[in-house]
Amino acid sequence: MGERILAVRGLKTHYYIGGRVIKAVDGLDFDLERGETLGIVGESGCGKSTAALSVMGLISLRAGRVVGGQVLFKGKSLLALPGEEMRRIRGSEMSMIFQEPMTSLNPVLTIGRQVSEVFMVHKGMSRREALDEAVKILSQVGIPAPGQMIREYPHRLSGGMRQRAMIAMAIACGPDVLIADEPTSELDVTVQDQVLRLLRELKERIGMAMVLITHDLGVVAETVQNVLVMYAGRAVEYSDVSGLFNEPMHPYTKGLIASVPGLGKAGEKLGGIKGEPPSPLDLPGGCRFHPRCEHAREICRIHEPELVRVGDGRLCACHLYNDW
Amino acid sequence: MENAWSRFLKNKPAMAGLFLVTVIALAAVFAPYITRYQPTEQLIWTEGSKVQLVPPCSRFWFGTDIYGRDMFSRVVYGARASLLIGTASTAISLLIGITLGALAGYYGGVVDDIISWLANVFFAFPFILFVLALVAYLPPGLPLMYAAIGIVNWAGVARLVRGQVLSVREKEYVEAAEALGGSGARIIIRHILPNIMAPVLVQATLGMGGIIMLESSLSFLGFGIQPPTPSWGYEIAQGRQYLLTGAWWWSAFPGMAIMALVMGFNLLGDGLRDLLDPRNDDAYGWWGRG
Repeated sequence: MGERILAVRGLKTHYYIGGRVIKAVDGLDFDLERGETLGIVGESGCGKSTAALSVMGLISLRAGRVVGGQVLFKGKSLLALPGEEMRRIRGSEMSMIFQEPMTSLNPVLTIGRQVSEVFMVHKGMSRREALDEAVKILSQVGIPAPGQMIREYPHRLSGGMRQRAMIAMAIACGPDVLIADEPTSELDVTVQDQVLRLLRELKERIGMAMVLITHDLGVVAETVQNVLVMYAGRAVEYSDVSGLFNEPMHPYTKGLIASVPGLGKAGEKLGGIKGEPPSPLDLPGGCRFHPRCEHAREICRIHEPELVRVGDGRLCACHLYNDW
Repeated sequence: MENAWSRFLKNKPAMAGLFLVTVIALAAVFAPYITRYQPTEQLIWTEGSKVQLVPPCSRFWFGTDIYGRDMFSRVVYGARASLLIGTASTAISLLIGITLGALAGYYGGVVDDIISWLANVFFAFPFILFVLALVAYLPPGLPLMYAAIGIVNWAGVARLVRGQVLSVREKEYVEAAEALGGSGARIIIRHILPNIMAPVLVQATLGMGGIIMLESSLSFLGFGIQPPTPSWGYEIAQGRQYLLTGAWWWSAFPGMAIMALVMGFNLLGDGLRDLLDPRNDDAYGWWGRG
């Protein structure tokens, strides 16, 4: 067991829209060790991105609030930090990259200005020094001719190059934790692969821990060590990656894996999960998955299962395993 | 860049507007070189009553007034007052409006409530009466005019900027900038404002016409520029008494000057709006590559 760098405990983030409460994240726990790569998977709307934004302290922007729980980063409670201190951590010790490289770069500023800004904000460099650093960091993320690239505007770059520029900005200060929210979903498959390889390389070189948020189990399989499966705002299973694919425990995880072509046995009919994920406005009582679960029993309708240890370092929140 | 420009050059009304504004601005700047007489020079003291109310002729292009002053000179110098007040008041209203509008849009909540309430108060106020009250109460003078008109106009700018900031604030690149640790001020100034300058520029240009009208109205009523400094609105008021006796030029030329300048700014503003319309593919390029 390495040193724990990030611990999330009972995190609850709710949005308030039109007087109604949307429980996007509702009691989430996970740990991250130094240098670990953790994948967070789940369907759209299960609270993956909200969880990431909560950890980064970026929720207040979106009409939402972290209403409970704790985020401990290097032993400091982030939720209790004053805004200014949190701002200094963001982008230097803890960084985040976003899903859409098309829209996460400012269209009216050159790449050079945007990348150099990180150095000016966190290292107090002058614009000239920062631009020199920007060229260096751009070449580290595999952008060709970075000296020219710093004068270009984002619309002149391909999606892959833009995502590389985003990554350059995020890792510029050598963060301890990088949260990547669907970093490759918008990219072509071949470019996806390059970007994932780059992320793995950088992770090794900088020695940072990475949280990779994705709905793509293929990306999970080739990139991460441990996986957290989320459903309706909570973790339902935590496992190392081989355990998860070889022997999924939670019925939801089983359904997810069965629904991916090529991961099950060849020639087998694709499985799936019947029904829709529940509306976060109106979560079912008991186990949140029970309306869609073929193993659901009486207890599943009444009691919400806890995330409990079910094997070697594995956790699962399901009554099936509580009883056994 | 070439694309945007060539589209602008093809926009005939916008070019006409640009032409009017440019000609009047150049005339104002080079006034001493294109006029034969000082605007305040009363020729009756040297030449007697034969230079009173002279109709337009080769010597006095726009005629003379009752004091034997060259109306061409007074109209040309009058452009200085109008343009000065137009730009200075616009600058003041932009400064206040952009600052408060951006704060309201970015921070929302109570900040937004207070600023929006204040803007609504200003909107509900009768425009001209408010300026009249300010100008009448305080000693008259140019700086007071800038300030009074600028203060009245900030609310429109603030409302526009607030709306624009609200929409840009939700963009991923703003979130990304926040995730990288940018402070509120830095994000507003470096990431948000450059993205909303196009509509603000259009509004400022269109607002110039209104401000020039306002200055003329105030001067007409005697609360604006104080004589003997030439001002179009004041000239119209003075010449009004002689209109029916046949000396139409005293009021008519300043009136046409106001019309030309206001129309110029309006045409130019409309043209810029078309040019910078986000539905035109090159809208960003115009700013981005500036």
